[in-house]
Order: sequence, then C-alpha cells, then structure tokens
Amino acid sequence: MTGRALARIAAAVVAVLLSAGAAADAGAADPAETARILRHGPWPMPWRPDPGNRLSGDAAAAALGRALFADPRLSADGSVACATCHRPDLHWTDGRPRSAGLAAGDRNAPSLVDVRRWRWFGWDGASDSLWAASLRPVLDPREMGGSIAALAGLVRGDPVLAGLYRQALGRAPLADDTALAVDAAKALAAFQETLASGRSPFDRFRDGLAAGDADAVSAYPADARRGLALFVGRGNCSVCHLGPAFTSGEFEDVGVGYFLERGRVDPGRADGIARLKASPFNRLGPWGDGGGADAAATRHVASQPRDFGLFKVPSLRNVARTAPYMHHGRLATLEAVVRHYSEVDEERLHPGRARLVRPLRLSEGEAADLVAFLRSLTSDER
Amino acid sequence: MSWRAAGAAALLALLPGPALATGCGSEFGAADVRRIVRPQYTLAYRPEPAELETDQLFALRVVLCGRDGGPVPLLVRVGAWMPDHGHGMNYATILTAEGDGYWRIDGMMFHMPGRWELVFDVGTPLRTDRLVAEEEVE
Repeated sequence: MTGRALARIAAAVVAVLLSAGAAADAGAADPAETARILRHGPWPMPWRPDPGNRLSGDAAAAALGRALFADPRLSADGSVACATCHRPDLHWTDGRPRSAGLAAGDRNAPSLVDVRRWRWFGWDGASDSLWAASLRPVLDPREMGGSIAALAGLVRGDPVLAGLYRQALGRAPLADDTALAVDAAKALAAFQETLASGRSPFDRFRDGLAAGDADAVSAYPADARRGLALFVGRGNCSVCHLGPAFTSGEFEDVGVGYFLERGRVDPGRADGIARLKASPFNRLGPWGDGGGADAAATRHVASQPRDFGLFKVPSLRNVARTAPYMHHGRLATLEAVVRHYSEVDEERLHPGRARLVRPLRLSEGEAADLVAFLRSLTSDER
Repeated sequence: MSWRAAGAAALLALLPGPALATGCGSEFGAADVRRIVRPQYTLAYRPEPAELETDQLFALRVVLCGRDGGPVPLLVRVGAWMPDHGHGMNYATILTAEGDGYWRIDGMMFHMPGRWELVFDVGTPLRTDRLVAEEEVE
C-alpha cells in the first residue's frame, strides 16, 4: 500500500469519526433526551378563540382593539396608552426594569406576544382572561387611572372609535357603561391575540430531529445544542419552562426575592388569587361569554400560604427580545439570568417550598451555551 | 366537599357496595382502570381524559367497592403530591357523590412533568385512611 493510499484511508477514518461525533453531538443520541426536546414543539400550536370573549378571533374587533391600544385617552390625564408599556418596537414590552404609568410601578411589563395562549395573565395571575387583563391596567390608578364611565364615554363619543365599534359589533355603542367598557376590553383582547411568535432556529432543529432530517439538525449551532442539553437535563429548566410555549403558565419561587424596598413586599400570586376571586370580570362573573363552562381553572384555583411571593413562569420564546428580566426587572441580561440560576442563593428560597431550584454551578462555557440556546428561541420575524 | 355533601355521602356509606372488589371499576375499562385494594374494600379510579397530560385540568371517576358487596367507606378528600419536589397541586378538587359508591372528582391538574402521588382519604371526616397511587406525566 502506498503512502498516498494510507493517507486516503486515514483521512476517511477521520472523516467517519468526525461525522459520527457530530451526529452524536447534534442529533441527541440519548432517546430520553430526544423525547424531552420533542415535547417543546411543534410550533406554532393550534389556537382556538376564547369562549369567554365573543369578539375573540374577529378581525373587525381587532381593528377597534388596535385603535384603543394606541390611544392615550384611555388614561385619566391622556398621557398613557397601553402601548406606552407594551411598545411594538420593543417586542411589546417597554425595556424598563419596572414600568411607569401615571405612577412608578413595581413590576416589569411582560411581552404581549403569544399572550392569547395563557391561562393566567400578569405576573400574579390576577386575571383569568385576556379581556379582563386588558381592562385591569385601564382602571388601575397607578397605571392608567381610567374608569369604566370614561372608557365607555370615549368609545361612545369618538366618531372613529364608535364607527369601529359599529363595524365590530354590528350596532351602535351601548348605553350601559359597563357593558360598553367590557366590549372595548374584549376588542383590546382581540387585537392582542394577533401578536403571535413565529418559528425559531430551535423549532427547525426540533422538527428536524422529529423527522430525521440530518441537514436541519446539523444546521443548529453546536453551542445552542449543548445549552439545550443542559436545559432539558441537568439544569432541570423544562420542569417549569415546559411544552411548546416553554412555560407551565403557573407560578413559582426562583429565589429572586419579593422585597420591593424597606417595609414593602410584593405578595405575587397570593395577592393575584385574591384579586382574581374578587373581580366581577372573572370567568365566573356575569360579563364573560362562556357561561361558566370556560371557568374550570378559576373555579378550582386554590389559595394557599405557599402562594406568597410566587410569580408567573414566563414563556421563553423570544426571550432575547424582552430584557430586562424577572418580575421586578432586576436582571438586565440573559447572561445575568443564567448566572442567577447558576449561583442562586438557596437561603432566599422560601423554607418549606418546592425543591425545584438549586444552584447549577455552571462553568463559563456552560453558561454561554445556555444563553446561546435561549437566543435560539428567537423567531425570524420582527 | 361541604359538610352537607359529606352528610349525604355518609348515608351512602351504609349501603352495600356496588360490586365485588375483584371487578371493582370494571366499567371504567380494563385499559384505563387503576385499583387500590384494601382488605375490606377496593378503590378503583379512571382519569378523564384517560391520557394524562402535564398542565391540563382533568377529572377522576372513582368507585369504592366493599368486600363481598359489604359497606363502603366515604371518599373524604382527594389531592395530589409531587414527592420529588415537595409540593402539591395549585388547584383544589371538588368531590361529587354520584351514588352507589361512585364519585366524580373535578379540579385535578399536574402542572409539572414527573412523578405524582394521587392521595385518596377515605373513611369519615373524623377518621380517614390514606390511599396513595402513583402517576407519571411527561
């Protein structure tokens, strides 16, 4: 055998070994890991209109909702619109740690993208429908400071809004203030339902894995692939950030703290459940269109001592576009979020709480991989 | 469950059970029924829908059968616990007595993937036996 032939054989052996290594690295050799990855798709998921909102999925109602969303006249002094804290150019957040309406707020403005999918709305889940969640900030004195009467008066008195209302509802604006304000809130929800995220590099990888498409699998960056393995494996992240939307939609304590300042705390879910149950606009009340058949979660949700200081598990889709992070916005970057989970102070977790969060003790490389994975959840459209 | 419901159910406890323990809950279907057997009675249940999914509300159909058609205990409480994480459900169940030892449990949700323990307290409101069954959701 010549030296050249030997060299060719050696090169072929190296190529085979590299190829096998790449497949094992990129293609998830472990069937259990593959199964865990596949559960994060497919995306987008089917969606059906909200049975509690007869305007849900209606394009004419969405047009009215779009107009209302951008209208600062919904606020008491005409200075704050829904779009003030949910800016289209900032992925429907405001980019601030904590939002400010008429007064400084205590919480970060969550993105509205994919909001149509949630069971609970807001960091504390104080609303059980998107339309009720849309009405809440309008009436909150610290956010928009409006009123039912003012909102109804605006829709009734403004020719453009009244015209959009007629197109959506097929009738003139109602004389009853509350009924008209609820219609306006349902139109706001119909608009926000249109804010849906598209497919991401992760989705192409995940679907390639499901279909055995080696090209799609190998196109996924190696660092994101390693980060994904951490996410569904040792990191235990997918216990809460589960399913295609990367969230359970429920509430957890991840050790970020609930003290706002000396003497003031954010009770989180504990307060959210109390406000939900007290609201006349919840799914058990008279203003929904589901007749109570859509209210199972509201009927059964339990108020428990451990709810204090719990906050909603956010979706991670497009998380790279929604900085800063956590309910109080105190973590400025994804790197800071990963560092938090790497070094989380277990003393800050409530005693007796679920043993979900442990310091991951990530190496620098592992932390970077996890961030790369999170960035791969960014969808193609802006 | 309200005390009124418990009182109504207590009357049921005096009645003979619906079936022999060996066939308890056979109407739930052989593929879906789960049974917990005790010397004096059997508890059989089936989730609805039968395929449990993480983060979805579901119901349980439950029947208690006395040995040899003997009396059956009450179903007092039903809940679930995730032993590896040290927490229960975020939702409270509502128990509805359907008569003849049959119950419907609404408001169940396993909001995380993993191993859960279904906990059935049977007996009387003052003295209960705890029956535990394991379920796994992905």
